[in-house]
Amino acid sequence: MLRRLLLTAGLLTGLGASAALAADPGVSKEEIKIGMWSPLTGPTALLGTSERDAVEIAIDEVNAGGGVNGRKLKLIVYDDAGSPQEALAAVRRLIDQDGVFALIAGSTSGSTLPIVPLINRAKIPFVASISSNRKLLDPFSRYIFRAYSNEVAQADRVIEFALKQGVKKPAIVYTSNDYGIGGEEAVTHRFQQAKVSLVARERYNQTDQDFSAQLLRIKQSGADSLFVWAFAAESGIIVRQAREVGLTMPIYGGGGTATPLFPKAAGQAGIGVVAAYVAPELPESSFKPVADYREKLKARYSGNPPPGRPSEYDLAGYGALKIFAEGLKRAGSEPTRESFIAALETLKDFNAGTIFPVTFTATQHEGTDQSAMVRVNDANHWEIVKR
Amino acid sequence: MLGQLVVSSLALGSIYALTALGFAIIYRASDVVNFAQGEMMMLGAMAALLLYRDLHLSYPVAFGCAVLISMAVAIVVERVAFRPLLHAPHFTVLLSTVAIAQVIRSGVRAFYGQELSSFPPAWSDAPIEVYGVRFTLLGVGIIATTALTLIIFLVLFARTNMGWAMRATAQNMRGAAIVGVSVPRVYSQTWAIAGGLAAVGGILLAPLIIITPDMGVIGNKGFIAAILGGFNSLGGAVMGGFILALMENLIGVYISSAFKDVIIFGCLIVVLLARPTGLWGTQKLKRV
Repeated sequence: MLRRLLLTAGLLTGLGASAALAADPGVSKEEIKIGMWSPLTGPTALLGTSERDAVEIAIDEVNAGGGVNGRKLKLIVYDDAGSPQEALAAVRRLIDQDGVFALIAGSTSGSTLPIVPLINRAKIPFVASISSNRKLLDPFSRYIFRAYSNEVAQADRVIEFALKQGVKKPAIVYTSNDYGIGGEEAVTHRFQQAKVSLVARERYNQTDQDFSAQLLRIKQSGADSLFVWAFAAESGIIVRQAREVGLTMPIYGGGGTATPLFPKAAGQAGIGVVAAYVAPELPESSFKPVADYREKLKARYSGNPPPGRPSEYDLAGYGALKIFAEGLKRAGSEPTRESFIAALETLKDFNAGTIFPVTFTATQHEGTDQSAMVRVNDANHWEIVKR
Repeated sequence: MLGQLVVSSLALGSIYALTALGFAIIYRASDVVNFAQGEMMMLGAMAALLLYRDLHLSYPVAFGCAVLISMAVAIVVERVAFRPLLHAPHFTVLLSTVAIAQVIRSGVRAFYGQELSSFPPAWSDAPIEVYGVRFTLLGVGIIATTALTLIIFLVLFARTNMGWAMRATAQNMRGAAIVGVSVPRVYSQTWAIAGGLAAVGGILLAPLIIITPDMGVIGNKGFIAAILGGFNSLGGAVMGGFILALMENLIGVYISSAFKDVIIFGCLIVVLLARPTGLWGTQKLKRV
């Protein structure tokens, strides 16, 4: 009994002491805890492992330089395996048990959108760098900041490009998840504005491996161009099968297509495909910040980074942490979640080096609407055709 | 258009058919649905990729070795995950096969990572057009290999002692044992053949899609095909594979690709209501 009383008393003093130090969880004298949930296993593991490595590499850089205002950054990562349920459990744990100060990176749209209400309730800042779904910030949330362009902005750029090439009868094939459906809405909307209507809209389920039906319908529709809103591996199969059934028209893709996996999956059939790409530089670029990052990634894997790496998610994750650190720096020596949000909203054309410069204001948390256009060249590699 | 649809469905239907046949022979022999069938496909494709692309064996050799490897794995699976549960409730055995599927998938992922590979096609995948119908040599190769596999299977099943023992065991396990059939050996053989069929399906499928640890999901299609055609009818399961592929394409083109699965599963329920044992299945008599 006495023991329990003493324990309680100790706990209370402890609580009092930490409350006096900082009003918000996750901030101690020495460190600031940052939480991340991402698919580290499962079919979309490339996204999660890229972002985790990138965030950790950027944190190491920040910490090597003495941390932010004297505090080291500490990352806690959980695997959601791409499942919304596991994502929800992971974020609850980050907020309730680990008591992190803020969240970074996030997961695929399907495992990020369901977390939004939780983030808003907990009033915890989140710098997002995987999901490109419009709904992440529509309706607006003052706690969420996106480091790269959303699917609407990506679709805008691709369609602008396609319209210039004379596209008049576009068709779209898309996957029935948040990424695909969001992309289809964005593409349809943007074409409507240009008074062009889609002649075919074909949808497929995520585990489908055969797309002949969809592609034959598109062939019948007399389309003069094909938009593919699917993740890289499926995009590759779709493009290959499209050429097989005799679709020879130009093919355009969204951000999910523009990854190094696509040319591998599509093979020769992928040559000439144009897609929106979320960073100003390709992962294999010799541009200094990207080249430096690549070296660090190599060192992390003792010279042998996993296949497909670095990916653009490496670049995005790295940029997101740099944005995060800059906001934290501007929030001053006693950061609170509120002062961190206010500080992020002062970022103007902040250039993290690996992604497009971001600007946040009190009413605009979409960091940028820029994307580059990339094309698969004759050597079956992506090249930037328009920045 | 219709001609094109039928032709497009044949290659995929072949693969569904091989998988469905794998499901059906295990079910007939042991009343168990082996949910690791899709993973056995993936394993076959992975093995072939390693042998063909990385060890530079010729395609037929790599093909044959990969099939043998999968058969060996299937024999091991039968010994560790099925035979010890011979007298356990069906549900337990079924869960055991689900667990095996997970073990194979996660194991391959741990070993192979998130790499995705395209399998270099053994036959040209450049489209050829004949009377307005487009197809590839790859598709023809897939259909021909499937036909050959089915013929070999038929001969084994109908003309050899092994096939006779398998049929006898499927009809009446105790009776077969009494007349001298080694039932454990029949189980091993059955699983080995199912593993081999899965591997053939997986290797043929590989150049059409992309090899990932998750490609086994297509095994579900074989499962549906087997239900459709009849789980205890081998010919029915094969037909089920072709029917499913054709249905998918017909519905996708003439109705809507978004509703493809809704309609197919709807049809499945109708078939099961009208003929609980599938289109070609026969009621297995159970004496109580």
